[in-house]
Amino acid sequence: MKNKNQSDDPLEPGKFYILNNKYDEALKFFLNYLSNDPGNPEVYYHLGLIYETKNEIDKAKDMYEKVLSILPGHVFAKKRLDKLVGI
Amino acid sequence: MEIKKPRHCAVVGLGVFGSNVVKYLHELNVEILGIDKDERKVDSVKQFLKLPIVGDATDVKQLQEAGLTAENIDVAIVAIGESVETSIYVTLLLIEMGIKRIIARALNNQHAKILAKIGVDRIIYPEANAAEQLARSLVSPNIIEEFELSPEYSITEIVAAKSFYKKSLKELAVRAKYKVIIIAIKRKTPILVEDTGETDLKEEIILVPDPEEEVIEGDILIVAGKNQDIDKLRSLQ
Repeated sequence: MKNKNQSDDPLEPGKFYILNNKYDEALKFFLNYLSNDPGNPEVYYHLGLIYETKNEIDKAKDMYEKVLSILPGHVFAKKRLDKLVGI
Repeated sequence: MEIKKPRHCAVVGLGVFGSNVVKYLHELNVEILGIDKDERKVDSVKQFLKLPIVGDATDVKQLQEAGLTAENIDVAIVAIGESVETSIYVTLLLIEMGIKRIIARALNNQHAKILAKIGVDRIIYPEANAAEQLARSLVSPNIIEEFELSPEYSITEIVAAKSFYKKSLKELAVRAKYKVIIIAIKRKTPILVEDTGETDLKEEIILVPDPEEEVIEGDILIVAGKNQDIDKLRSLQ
């Protein structure tokens, strides 16, 4: 039987690392996840967030662009990308 | 001398630069008279203008009839970007009309020198400023924004060095060691958006940070000091 508190979201550990400012661990998690699921826009989005918080702006932009190439309606990626390019 | 916040501004020339000036002034609750001979340009910003005028700014009678007078206008911004001659002519007209404060956009060095000679209060050189900032940011990627206080002193945004992570400002003793003051910290903090469950970043500025405040990875420090001291701080890893 499944615990009610258990999340169905397989990206949860990576998100947990991000929210706790453990960016290196989060980066490792999402890059590892990407090798198994290379077309997942949420993985690219979270990589974008990690790179942005680490001030690696070019890499962050690449990630948000990748999200939008897969899922053009991703509101959060669009918003972050617009901010980075100064729109 | 104290410069009061202007309440009534005139922007002459509503191209890309002029229209952006209009938008930002409008956000700051300044009433704006905008004039350009191109009706489409006036239309594109008319929602931000108290007085949108399609007209010839070289015609003093037209300017006065439109309300651009020394009594009505605190500051006039000459944002003409197509012709140096027109910009100089309009600037001269505004000086003769007794406008209290005139700010003019220079299109090149020669233009800037002439504007200075005829006595404008401030010369803006957006292309040169943007080019200088771009060049400096390419050579020194740790510099993000820079505001020159004097030829010797600046306020600069720099990416916090790795050796600063997880240390408090008190421990770092930046003022004692590097002779610069950290006046603010810009930080992007990951948050969970309640409605959607999506992760996002919250941007915050910690003004006059507490000495116990810890620097974390990704922090941008806004520092003030002598350029040479800021350079030393910037070169840290």
